[in-house]
Amino acid sequence: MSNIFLKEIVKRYPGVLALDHVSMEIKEGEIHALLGENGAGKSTLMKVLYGMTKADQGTIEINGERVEIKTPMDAIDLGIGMVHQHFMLADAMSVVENVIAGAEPTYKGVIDIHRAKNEVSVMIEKFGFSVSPDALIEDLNVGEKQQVEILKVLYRSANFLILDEPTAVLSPQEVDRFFEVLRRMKADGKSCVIITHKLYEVFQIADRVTVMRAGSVTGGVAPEDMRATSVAKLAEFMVGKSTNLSEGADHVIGSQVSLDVDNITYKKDKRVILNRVHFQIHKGEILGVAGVEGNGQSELVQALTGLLKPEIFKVKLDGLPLSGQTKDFIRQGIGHIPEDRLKYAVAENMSIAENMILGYQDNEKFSRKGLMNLKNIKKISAERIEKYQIKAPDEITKVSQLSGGNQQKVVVARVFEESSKVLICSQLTRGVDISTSEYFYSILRDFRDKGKAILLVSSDLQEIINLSDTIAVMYKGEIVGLRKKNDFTREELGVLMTGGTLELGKEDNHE
Amino acid sequence: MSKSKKFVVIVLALFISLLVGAVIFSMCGYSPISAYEAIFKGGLGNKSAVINSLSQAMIIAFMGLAYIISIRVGVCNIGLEGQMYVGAIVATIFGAYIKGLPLVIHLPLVLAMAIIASGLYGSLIAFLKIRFGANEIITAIMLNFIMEYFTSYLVNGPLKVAGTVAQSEKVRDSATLFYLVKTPKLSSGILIFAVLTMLMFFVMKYTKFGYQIRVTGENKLAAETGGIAVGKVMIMAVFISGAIAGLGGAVIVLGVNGRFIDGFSSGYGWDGIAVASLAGLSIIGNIFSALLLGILKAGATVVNRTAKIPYDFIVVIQAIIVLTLGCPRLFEGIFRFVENKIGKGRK
Amino acid sequence: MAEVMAVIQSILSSAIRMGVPLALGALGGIYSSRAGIVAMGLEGMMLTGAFSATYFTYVTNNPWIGLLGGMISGMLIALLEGILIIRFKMDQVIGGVGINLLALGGTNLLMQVVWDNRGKSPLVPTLGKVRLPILGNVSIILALLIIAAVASWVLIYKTSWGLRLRLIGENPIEARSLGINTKKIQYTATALCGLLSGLAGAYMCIDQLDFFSRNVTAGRGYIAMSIDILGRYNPLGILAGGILFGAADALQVVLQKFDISGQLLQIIPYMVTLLVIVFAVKHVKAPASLGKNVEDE
Repeated sequence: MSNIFLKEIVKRYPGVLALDHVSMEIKEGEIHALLGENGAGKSTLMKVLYGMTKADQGTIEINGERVEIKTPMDAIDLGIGMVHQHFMLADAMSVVENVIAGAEPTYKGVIDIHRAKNEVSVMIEKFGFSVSPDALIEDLNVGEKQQVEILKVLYRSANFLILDEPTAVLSPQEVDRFFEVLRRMKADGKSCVIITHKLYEVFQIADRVTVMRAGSVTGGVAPEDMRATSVAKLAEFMVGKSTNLSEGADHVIGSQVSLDVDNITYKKDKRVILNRVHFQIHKGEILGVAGVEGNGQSELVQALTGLLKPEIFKVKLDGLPLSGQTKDFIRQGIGHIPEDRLKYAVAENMSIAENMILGYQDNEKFSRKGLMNLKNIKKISAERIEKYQIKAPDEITKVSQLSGGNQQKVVVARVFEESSKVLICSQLTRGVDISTSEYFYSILRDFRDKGKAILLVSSDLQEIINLSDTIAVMYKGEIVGLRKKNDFTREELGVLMTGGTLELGKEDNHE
Repeated sequence: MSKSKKFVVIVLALFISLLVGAVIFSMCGYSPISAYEAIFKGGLGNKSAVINSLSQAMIIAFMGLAYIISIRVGVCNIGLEGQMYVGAIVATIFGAYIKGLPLVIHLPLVLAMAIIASGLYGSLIAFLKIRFGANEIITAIMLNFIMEYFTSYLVNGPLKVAGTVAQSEKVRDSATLFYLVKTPKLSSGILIFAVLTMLMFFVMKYTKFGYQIRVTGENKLAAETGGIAVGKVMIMAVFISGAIAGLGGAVIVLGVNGRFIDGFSSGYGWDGIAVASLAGLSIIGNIFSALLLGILKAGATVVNRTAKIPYDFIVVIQAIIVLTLGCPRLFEGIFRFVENKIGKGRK
Repeated sequence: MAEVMAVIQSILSSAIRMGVPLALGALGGIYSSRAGIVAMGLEGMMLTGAFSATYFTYVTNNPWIGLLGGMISGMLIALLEGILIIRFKMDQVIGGVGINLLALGGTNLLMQVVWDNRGKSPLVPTLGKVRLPILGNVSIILALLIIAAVASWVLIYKTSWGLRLRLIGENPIEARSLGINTKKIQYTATALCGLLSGLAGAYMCIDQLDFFSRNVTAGRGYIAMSIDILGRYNPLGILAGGILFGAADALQVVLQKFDISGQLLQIIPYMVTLLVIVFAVKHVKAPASLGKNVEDE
């Protein structure tokens, strides 16, 4: 009946080419996986299809006819629906109400609630959902909430469903049920595009795969070839060709353990977010945590900085157990560069100087007996502006007036200068230009060479590969691989990051 | 917004309010120019008027300072009126009904009691929210009304002094704040305010606690990530805010009226919000905005008596100030328009 | 026995008489709250309605015109607050504070200008009464209130518009993603809030009383906010809440006969409100997006 053809889509953002002449075909009645790492462009491409983003070049054709999709309403009219990764639901209202809102069946102005419930019940039955129409959203679990999101889309007669990381928050049983729903929708003639980074799911459910990397389509597998395709092949499409990972001079890691993470376990709403995470970082070592965002990295960082209190937290710093509030962690020498600087790291309406001491205001050189040493703060801020080449007229300039890279420099300056033992960096170079990123890399290496322990969390695999001495791969809250950098190949990393398993042979050193 | 933009916004807001005031003046049959002239004359025309203006400004300034401390930590304290009443009545009770203490003990004791009581009254709102989940807006306003009527009851009943006026006994001399000027009265409370302002300015700028308040108010999440105990900081700041408002109330009793007079407040608690906004939440700026409003209020009281221009014009102007300063985006359109024009001009 | 019945009848009719403006204000507040906007300006809307109704009745000698005037002026001031909040993202609490201050100053000002009196307006004709069994002579507005409450219940829970309104109050981003025109619905809800609270104020001065006085509403707008919470933002729930708080209001009038100080009794409605807010409404969930201004796309 119908298919969708995205032709030569180009999308530019300031400083980056998000989509580079991307073409993709979605056929009727197929489950099509769109695979790739963070930043590969898959979400952007689908946002273009759904009318949430406007492409700079390229066309969209449905059944050979060119269409204009300017807003999500246009997409919905054409039978395209999107289920977002982050649910948009009204907790206090019922399933039916959330599904029909905006498209209510009415009779003389009053909602025909019987018809609505009927229609929703029919869909629930037909596609194998487990929710009941009158249930309140707040009483549903995550899998059921996702069902409601899918029902919303189906209710508006979607034939093409785009699902963004649909299994990100589902338990294995919920995933199975979800796949069943997909199969029934396919039997009904509908097509689904699943944006995912999980390889094993691709093999379980997809008819066809398109793989993207850095804004381009790097590979695709047609239905007839799916069986013959290997995990390794897909991983290669995703992360690139096998190369020797030992970039950078060989660095000998110290033998003393600095941060000893024996067990961190954290549950939320019956879901396990961190599952017996354990690793060690030695003095003079950079441990890079590779993985697609959303696999527990943020929570791990929060746990290690005192912002989150997990159920089990057996961590030692230099042999002594680590405990207390955030300020205790900071005082004991753990520095934190947060993943979202505007949200967690700086008060942008305050000056560089005032941000330069944030987290360290108890420090003797900045305050004594409750009084701030403004002279010293000014002096030290000015010194650091100089040293880290922060482009600002002076230290009283507001952080909001700095570029992203320079804002990050403020955070980097304060944390690098004050952290005596361990440094935890999350998305260090996000929103930072290349030259500043390179600069950060070099001072990170210097820092390591001075004997500090560094935990580097990043969704940019290349960054992890470039900088780390040891790489840990995190998937679904667990450390699924832990080896010296040189003991990994790129495809192996790709496989582990997406939930696959490696052949027996090389052991992981979890020691 | 940059400091200079903020300043422009404040001036614009003031200008708009006075303009609206002028429109209302003419709609009601008064000439705007002569009305404003009369008001400023009433506020600044002679020595007596200036003293009255200063006296008004002093009270308003206390409230503005109280509001600033609270809003800087991120809490909107609309319970100032109630906290002021608490300070006033506690000062009355300890000041008028305790005998035999020398000034050096009595006065500080009275002030201390007033400060603690009103600080606690303010923290009560936070406590009710944390412990019971009670809506803090409604509790604050209810506590305002309750204290207003309760104190009114006290000075109409148990604390009423003989005579027709509903007021308390006179405060003992040993608890009275001396007068800087005898006629008309200007209380040395203004010195207390000056000291308090300098103290608060010092705390906010030079102490670690002040730093913690400011960061918490600017970005609570960043404050937490930086190890600041935001909950504790907020409660302490709200306590201080209530205490300052209560101190203002105490000064009125101990220094302006000499006793608790029923209905002494012309809405000073709400004036605090207006002058704090007009000052751009700056502690030093508060002095100037309070002066301005003090002059306007004193002047309006005079012209209400003499020229029959209703006092409530000033309340309307105050309201417009609060409304226009409450949405900075109102001005963003104007700024963009001007910037575009300047940009085009440069080409 | 007849004496007891008489007392009960007297309390009930007092409670109803004093509860009508509270319930009307609360009904208006429901529309605003369910659209995600804190009904902080109810006090100002009621006061504006009270003054306008008195003024127009005074000028035309016709309380029905006064009633209309009161409702429309309530709506206009509500829309002013609405524009500042919805379009210019004003902080909702400060917006309410400003509107209330504007209404207080404005009505006092106009009172002096029109009637040359700072305290009280001259007496004006009032709306007629209707005789009902048990309750005796009651105002027509009571009937209006009940009709409005029932109609609101149908509107909010049974119609498309109502469903969309409730969704905006719970998750405005979801509403937007479904193609719902959130701003339009918020403006309409604000206008309805103004109409009803203007009516509440009008009732106070051209029905319950026959004059306008300084700050005649005396915090009833805030009490109406509490009724919203107690009544779970349900139009039928606020009817019950209205009677409860009306009884509290009436109680102070009754108790005055017992030689208890007037000011102490006046605390009763506020104390009752405070106790209710602290102890009785712990598990009431307000609309999830209440108080939050959502960014434009």
